[in-house]
Amino acid sequence: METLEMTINGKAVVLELDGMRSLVDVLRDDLGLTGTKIGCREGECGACTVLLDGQAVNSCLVPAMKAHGRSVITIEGIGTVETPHPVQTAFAEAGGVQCGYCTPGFVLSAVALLESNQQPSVDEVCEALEGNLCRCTGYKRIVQGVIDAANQMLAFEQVDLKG
Amino acid sequence: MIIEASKCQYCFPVGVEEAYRLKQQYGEQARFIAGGTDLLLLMERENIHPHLLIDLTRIPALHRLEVSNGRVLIGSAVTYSRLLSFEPLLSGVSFLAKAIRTIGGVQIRNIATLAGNLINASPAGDTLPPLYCLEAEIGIDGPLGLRCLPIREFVRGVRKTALAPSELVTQVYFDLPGPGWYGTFEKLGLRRAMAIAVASVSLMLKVEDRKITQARIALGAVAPTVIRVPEAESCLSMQSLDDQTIDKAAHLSAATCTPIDDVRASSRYRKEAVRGLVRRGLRVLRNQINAQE
Repeated sequence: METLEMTINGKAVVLELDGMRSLVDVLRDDLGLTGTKIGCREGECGACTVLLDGQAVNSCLVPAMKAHGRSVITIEGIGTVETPHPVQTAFAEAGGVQCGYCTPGFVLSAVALLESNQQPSVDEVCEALEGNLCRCTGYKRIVQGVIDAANQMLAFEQVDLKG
Repeated sequence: MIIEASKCQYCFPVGVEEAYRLKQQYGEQARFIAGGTDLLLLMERENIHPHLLIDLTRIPALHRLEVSNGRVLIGSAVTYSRLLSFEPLLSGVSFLAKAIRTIGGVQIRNIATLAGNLINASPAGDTLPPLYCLEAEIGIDGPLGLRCLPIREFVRGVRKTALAPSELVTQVYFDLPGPGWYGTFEKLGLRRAMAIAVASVSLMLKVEDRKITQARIALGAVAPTVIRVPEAESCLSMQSLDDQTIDKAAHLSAATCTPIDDVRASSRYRKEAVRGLVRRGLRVLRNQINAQE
């Protein structure tokens, strides 16, 4: 058994676990963070996307121990029903959510993109979402959601600067 | 019956020597891991349960990424995403950057490494054709000391490398192509994003006084390893890139390779794909060359 110490959604946790277990299993089964979904378990679908030190990764392909001493953000750390993240609001408003299974992964990929690029082009959004599959929406409304969220966040920021 | 997986330890050595000593000590029971994107799939598919995973990504020496005297050094823990933000690579070997962009999605590129692609030694590995064209060299360390192998000697067959059991790749090196060199990478997959190559081609040409003085053509996914095609390369020597020369090189490339039939494509289809990709690549280079003049 190994000891894993990490920060998850801003909270420090310590776990004892087998070194081969994947991050997604530890998040879902040990920590009860079931917002992170399992689609393919082979890094193809992106449903299990989380942020590891701010970077989007497929948590099915990451041994949990890689998070040792690092910070993990899951969908539970992004927003709540009462206080959604602008990306979540924009996805809902643009119709970027249908069955919803892929949505947490898409939201995390989008949040990671907007951290490094505040005004992405449609092409840049598509590249950032390349590793996320959606079988319902046809992607257009998801991409629109990210663009809308970027505009919204920039507008907030400008209000902040003025205010 | 459910068999409980045997317990696996996980460690973060801080030096290269510590890493290969651990591997030596545990032998077959231990595996090195960098990004792990190939290893985790392999462990799952082949039901491999190592007793120790030796994580190489916290060894500072393996994070080196630099250019000195026109030679690029890429540490084996450097991720694709880091390479894609390394300006000398983007401007000096844009075709390698193009190959990297076709690998997985952002989530894979944020964690996977160039060295991992090499060690996986798949003939369809996307960075391999560019690295064969660049005549990259692989730095290796282990109990017997340091050594350096040309990529063609490093890759020995489908998923086989020249690494001894306790050795690890520490660096990948290549010279930045100088003035007069042009390069490209062309890939045919079943989908633009995330898809493994059905066939891929990398080309490098050196042009002096409008004539090709050196040509390198590397083909991916059409033989047990990536291959260079000397017949096609020499047919370009001292030529200019007219349609006839391009067709001849494309034909010779297709004639030389020995692809397999599999679920993604038949052998015949792959040969035609090689012909098309070499033709496309040479036309891309012709445009690059014309734009320079």
